[in-house]
Amino acid sequence: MKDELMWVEKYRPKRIAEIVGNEEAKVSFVEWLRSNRWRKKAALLYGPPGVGKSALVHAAANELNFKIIEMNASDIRTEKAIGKIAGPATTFVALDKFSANTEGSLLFLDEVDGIFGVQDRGGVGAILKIFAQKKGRKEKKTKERKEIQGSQIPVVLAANDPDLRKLRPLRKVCHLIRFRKVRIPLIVVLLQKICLMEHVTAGFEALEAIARNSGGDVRSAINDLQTLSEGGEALRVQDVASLHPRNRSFDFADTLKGVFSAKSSQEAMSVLNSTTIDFDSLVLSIHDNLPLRCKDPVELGVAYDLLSKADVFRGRIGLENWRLLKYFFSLISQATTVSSQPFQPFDFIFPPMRIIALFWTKGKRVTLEALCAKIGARCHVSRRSAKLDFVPFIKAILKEDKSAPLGAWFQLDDKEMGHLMNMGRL
Amino acid sequence: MQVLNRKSFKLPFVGKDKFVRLTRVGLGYDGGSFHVRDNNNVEKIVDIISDVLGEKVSFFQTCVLCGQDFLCSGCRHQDLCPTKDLPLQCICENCRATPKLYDQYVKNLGSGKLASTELR
Repeated sequence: MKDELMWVEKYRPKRIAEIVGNEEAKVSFVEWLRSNRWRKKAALLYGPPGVGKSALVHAAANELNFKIIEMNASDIRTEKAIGKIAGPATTFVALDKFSANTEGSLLFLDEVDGIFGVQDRGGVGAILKIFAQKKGRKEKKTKERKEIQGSQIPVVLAANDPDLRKLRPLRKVCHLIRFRKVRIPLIVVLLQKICLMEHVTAGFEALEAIARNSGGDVRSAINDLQTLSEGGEALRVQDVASLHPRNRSFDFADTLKGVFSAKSSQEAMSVLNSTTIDFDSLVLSIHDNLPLRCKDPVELGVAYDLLSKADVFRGRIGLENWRLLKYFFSLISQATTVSSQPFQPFDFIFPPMRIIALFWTKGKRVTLEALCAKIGARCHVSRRSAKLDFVPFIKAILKEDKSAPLGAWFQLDDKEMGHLMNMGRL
Repeated sequence: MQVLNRKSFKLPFVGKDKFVRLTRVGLGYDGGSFHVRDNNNVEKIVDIISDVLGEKVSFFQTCVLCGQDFLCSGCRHQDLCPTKDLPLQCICENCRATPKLYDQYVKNLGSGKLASTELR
């Protein structure tokens, strides 16, 4: 090897401006860090790997004189471990803040989507605690009482996918900053600079080919450049041909656009093969968006028929029969390409309406469950029996006579009584 | 295809529901004209505007080096670009031939918007 040090480490940006791409995200992060908004909300930097999320935090800390307290995926991030480090750091002002050379500390939790399992139990909850609201006494609901306790130091989180269920609570207490794959001309600019510094003679086309192959991942582009430049004096396009193209994954927007705009079912299938959406959400999303793509009722009928068959295969796949996945993909790709009309852009529906409906009716469902629990306890039946066999009759009795002693006997409060009277059919 | 400038553009009457959705996903409204306020959901913005206009929508790109607005249609990487036609910053064809491009890039960015954000 020419150099023992990896180039990604050697050329790790020291200043914010040295990070290529994602200019909007950089500005948003610096504005957040320089304002006082970090007291109320953490910053959640999210995006694909190798686009400069961690590099931005380190460069910003270096440039703006913050001392980084970092916890990454190699650390154990249980509630206790995070509380031990983050608790004192975010609650008390460190003495070094009063020094002229530093702005204080910055807590950086890298790869928060890797917080999972028994090893990291309670990790997300511990992060939420930092930004938990101060609970005031009920009788004194003044603005001062409602103020957000917040953090004494900036807290920065980095993740690849913030839509993961376990990370959803974090979104409420975070200022979201999205990072995208870096554009090819910008990667080429950085590669040219590295070649200049390392005295590597590389053709412009060769660097372009490396950047194109990287799929917007700067880290992999630099690694590819280092690997290829070790072979000889000059880097040519022919040398780059030996690189394997990197897998490209599609998020929900890319997947829906890809499958609905595909000209053939094979094209749609290739998109499905690289999607990151879970298959149940995929079926629901296709179901919601089909009427927007197929305007002809006959075509729409055919498409829904194919989708229903795909759903049957999804059920058969379960958790183990993955050999059936090709049939599932094939039927979905056929369903989305049924329409003979050329693709016209439309506003995709996502998340699926069913999930949105469940979200909106959560309060009602919780009230009904509580109500059924009371009825079940009083009548010595299960909650399910109470719901199916008792609730309709109690509702009918109370509708006839609102002041019937039944409500008091079941110990139903006003909210539950109101819900029972106004609810539709079960 | 409709080409829009992220800093200011006009739309026909979009209706209450679409207007609310557009503002929620990051479009700003300033007395008659719209602008892209938040880039996090810019694909969603493009989808909704395409739906309103009934045709494909593309945004001007801004060159990081010269500040000029330009279109993705002239770029030879558009077949592979994951953010094609989105209102983001890039390098225009004219500036790609500039010598010491990276130094110029760092200099421009260091003295640009990043430096101008107010100090605490």
